[in-house]
Amino acid sequence: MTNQSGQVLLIVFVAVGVVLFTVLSMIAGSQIYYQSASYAQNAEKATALAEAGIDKAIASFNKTGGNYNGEAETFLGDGSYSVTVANKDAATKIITVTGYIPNKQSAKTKRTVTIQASKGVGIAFNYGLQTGEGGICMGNGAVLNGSIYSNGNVSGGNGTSITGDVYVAGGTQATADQQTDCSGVNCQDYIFGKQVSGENRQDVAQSFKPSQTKVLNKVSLKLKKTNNPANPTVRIMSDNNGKPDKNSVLATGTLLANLVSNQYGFVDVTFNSTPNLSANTTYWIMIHASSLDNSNYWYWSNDLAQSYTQGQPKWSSNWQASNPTWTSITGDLGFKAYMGGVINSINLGNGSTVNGNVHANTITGGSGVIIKKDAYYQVLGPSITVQGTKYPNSTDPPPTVFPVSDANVTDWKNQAVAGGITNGDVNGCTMTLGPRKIAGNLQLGNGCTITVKAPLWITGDIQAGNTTKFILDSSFGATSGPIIVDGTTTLGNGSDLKGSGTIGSYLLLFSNYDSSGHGDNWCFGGSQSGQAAVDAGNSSISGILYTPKGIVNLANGASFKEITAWQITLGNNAILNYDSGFASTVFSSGPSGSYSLVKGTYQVK
Amino acid sequence: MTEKGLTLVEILIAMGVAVVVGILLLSVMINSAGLFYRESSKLQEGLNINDALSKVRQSTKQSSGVIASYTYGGTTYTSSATQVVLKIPALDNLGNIISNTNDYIVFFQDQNKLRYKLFPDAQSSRKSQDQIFSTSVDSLTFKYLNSQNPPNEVTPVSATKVRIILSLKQKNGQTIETNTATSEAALRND
Repeated sequence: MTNQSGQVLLIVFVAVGVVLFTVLSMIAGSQIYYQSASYAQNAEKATALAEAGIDKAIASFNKTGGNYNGEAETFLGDGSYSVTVANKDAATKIITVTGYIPNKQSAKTKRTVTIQASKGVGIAFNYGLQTGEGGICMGNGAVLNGSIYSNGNVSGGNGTSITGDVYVAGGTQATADQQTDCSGVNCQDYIFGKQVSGENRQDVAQSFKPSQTKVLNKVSLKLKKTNNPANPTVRIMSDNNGKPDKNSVLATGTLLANLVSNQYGFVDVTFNSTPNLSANTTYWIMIHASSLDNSNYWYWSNDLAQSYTQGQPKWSSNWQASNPTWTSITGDLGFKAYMGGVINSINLGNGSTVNGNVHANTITGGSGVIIKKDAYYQVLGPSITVQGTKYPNSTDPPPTVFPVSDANVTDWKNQAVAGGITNGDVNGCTMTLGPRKIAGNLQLGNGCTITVKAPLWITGDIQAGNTTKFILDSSFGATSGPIIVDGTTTLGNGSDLKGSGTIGSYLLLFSNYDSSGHGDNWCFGGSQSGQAAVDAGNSSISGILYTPKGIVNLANGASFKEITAWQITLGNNAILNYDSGFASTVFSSGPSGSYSLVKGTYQVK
Repeated sequence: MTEKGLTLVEILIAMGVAVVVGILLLSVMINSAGLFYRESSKLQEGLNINDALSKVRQSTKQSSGVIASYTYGGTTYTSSATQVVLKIPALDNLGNIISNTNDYIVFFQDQNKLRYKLFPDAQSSRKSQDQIFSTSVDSLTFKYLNSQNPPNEVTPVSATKVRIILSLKQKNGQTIETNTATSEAALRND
């Protein structure tokens, strides 16, 4: 009897034990699950706190002009964050923010976000040679290690060798077909990319009627901005009963925000294609701001006098809505529309080779010209050998915009003026100059070394002897800086423009000089060489030469890394060695410049 | 001989009671074991989903862009609705970003496994990784979104945000447990 009842008790104990084990394990499991879930949640919260700290740091930099050194612990919501700031170089700060849940002392979870903020302006020079309508004219034996983008004709001598791609854009007419601008008190701001008096102004459009049936090559819009809004999209659209037709987008382009400053300027926008427009038909230029933001937004110059009679402006909160509402704006928004239809060509001398692709309306040349990859064209000369694929009937490449805008230059000039003004010519040799405006000429002898604290603005000419070096001050670190010249620049043989010594830093020589009115170019059938904006002898230039309206002239045997000019003339045996760092230069801006995050530097730990 | 033996009836009753109690106890044990198994697999699924989603979020945030495809060792990974290929800036030994150099991360479904692979650049201090986040994936969907509000779906390379929808499925005795979760993250380096 006793034995039997004892067995039942044993079985009951075992059963109870199993059940107890199960229940306890499940409780432990849910405990783990709960902990894991709340850890994951806390980690997200800590990341969000760290990102809030980054925003705070940027706002503090901009409020104090960079005099912000971080904070030990600031409580926000369910936790706290701490900020440390380190200087990378003159224009760049490294911000490290750690978010803690619930506090720094006894943190259960923490996350660290590191990012760089720069008050610099990023400018991308993507091509070794980029020219405007003036085109490129090369002597014999030029060796170009890089790519070329020309909005005008390209002419190469015998034995030219190009390692990259060549783009010769369809020509743009010299004057705008349609345009409007304002003057005096009629110039008003039209704000968009922001909510203004209850209006969600995300999309703004201006209509126009071209006077000719041609392709549209580019538009130019009169804009300025507050802080740092993202790149907006610009579309050319057909008209549908007085509204932009959302189902008929003819071309799309990106307005590069870095071309716009806080002063009004006409900013060029080019498109992914060049749409055919018909004369006397209404089309719309529509800007779509990427967001509505109360601190980063745009202004479009509005002419209250309504002097443009061929179109009108409208705004909308959502151009893609099923039935979008477009509301009229009183005035006319400043724009210029440039039509194309001009034939541009590339003409290479005997025995030339291109290792990359060639895109041009007309490809011609002497005997033995070889294109090693593909050719995209309308007309191909009989002596050209294409080793890749031939693409006849290709549309002309669209013209491309220059990477520095008038607005950027105005900013630089303002910074130079803020550094002080010297009236009269400056003569001398080895010295440090800038940031400063020199209202006169800069005259230098042979073998001088000029340390430049950019920006340096010279209203007259620069005349420098042989082997003169311009070197950006070492405090610029990885950032770049400009010298701006309103007149002509003559550099002797063996001159150079050097960066600060840190990789990624370059000295830019910007010339405002307009060569177009100073003689034809012999290269394109003219009788003489035009007056050059920059004449650099047979130097070896490691900086950037930039003359949006002028000619750059290099003598025989010169070597260089990047030239962007209205027209480029190279002597025999010139050598281009493009440096990939040109695609991501950062120019430091002055005290007025605002800090913004540097793309690609976000790290979370 | 004072003790008497049990009668047959007594033994039968005792055995009957023992059998009934035994069956009851056994069923309690089986049920609880089943419950334990179900609950712990649910738990495992939940933890897997949590880990996987937070890894995707973290990788996406650091990424400088979704790329169309990446080839390594003869295998090409292509960004699509079931696979995402991210490029993230490479880091040197001090944790600083190496300019113009990228590491590549791929999330993809391999039969019923959710796999994560990291291919570091030769200069990068990151280590090559190949992890499995779950072995019970039912479906995995990536959506590529732009920055508009509400966001529109775009091609992978023009995405500024990546959304992941992950469904795990596990057979649990007679029933099938399905657990679906969605998460999204913006590309902070884009």
